[in-house]
Amino acid sequence: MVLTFNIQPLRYTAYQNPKEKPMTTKLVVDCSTGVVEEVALTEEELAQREADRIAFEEAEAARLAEEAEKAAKKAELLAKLGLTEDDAKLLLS
Amino acid sequence: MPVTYKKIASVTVTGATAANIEFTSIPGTFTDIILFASLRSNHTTVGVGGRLTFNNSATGYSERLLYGNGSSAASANTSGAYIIWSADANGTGSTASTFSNLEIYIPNYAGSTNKSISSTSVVETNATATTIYANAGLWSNTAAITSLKIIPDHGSYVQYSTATLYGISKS
Repeated sequence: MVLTFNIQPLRYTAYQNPKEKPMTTKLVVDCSTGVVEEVALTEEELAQREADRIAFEEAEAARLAEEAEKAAKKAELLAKLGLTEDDAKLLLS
Repeated sequence: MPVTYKKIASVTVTGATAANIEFTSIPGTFTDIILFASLRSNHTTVGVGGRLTFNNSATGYSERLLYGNGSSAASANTSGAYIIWSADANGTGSTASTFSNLEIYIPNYAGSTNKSISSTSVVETNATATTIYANAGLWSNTAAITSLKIIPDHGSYVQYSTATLYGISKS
């Protein structure tokens, strides 16, 4: 009889409870005592943090899109006039 | 530093990251306050915007911003639930172990008029990318400022980020 051992490479996998999220904390400094406390964010604070992040990304995307549109219009106008950007700068100086 | 500056409190992120840094129970005994900080976030970009709020209020903020990186400059203005470009931090896209540096000056913070602020912050990465943000902000609220919070737009502040709040008295 031949015995075959199926040996799997040893792998380390950190145990993580799928229901458990890594705790997000903030630092709170009480200026009257100088005591610094590490405090877990509440559910409301976590939700606010996520909402703020999304709102910021949307606002930033809108700002960048506006900048790109402005640059494209400027380039189109310069091309129509047959001018380079340096020419335009010279005219405006 | 003038002798009229007095350290109120200081904090350094040690070990774990911090989602934000909050100074509470700020005494109303000074004329002005100023926050100095050196910050780095665990977000992947070179720089990360940083928000400033007072007294846990989410209304009445506006700002006018100028920023430049040595090759281009621009301006912006915003209004809303926080002052957005005052506490900028380096991100992990910047050179390792480099931190932003910034100051936020708040005159008449304990008075009964709206609160103006001025701030400068620099995302200095000891490489080609360096950006300075100069900001004029307004909190349209007449309450005395008793707490302030700085919050990175993305990620959390990492180890060795520091913030120190000073009180400034009339000389």
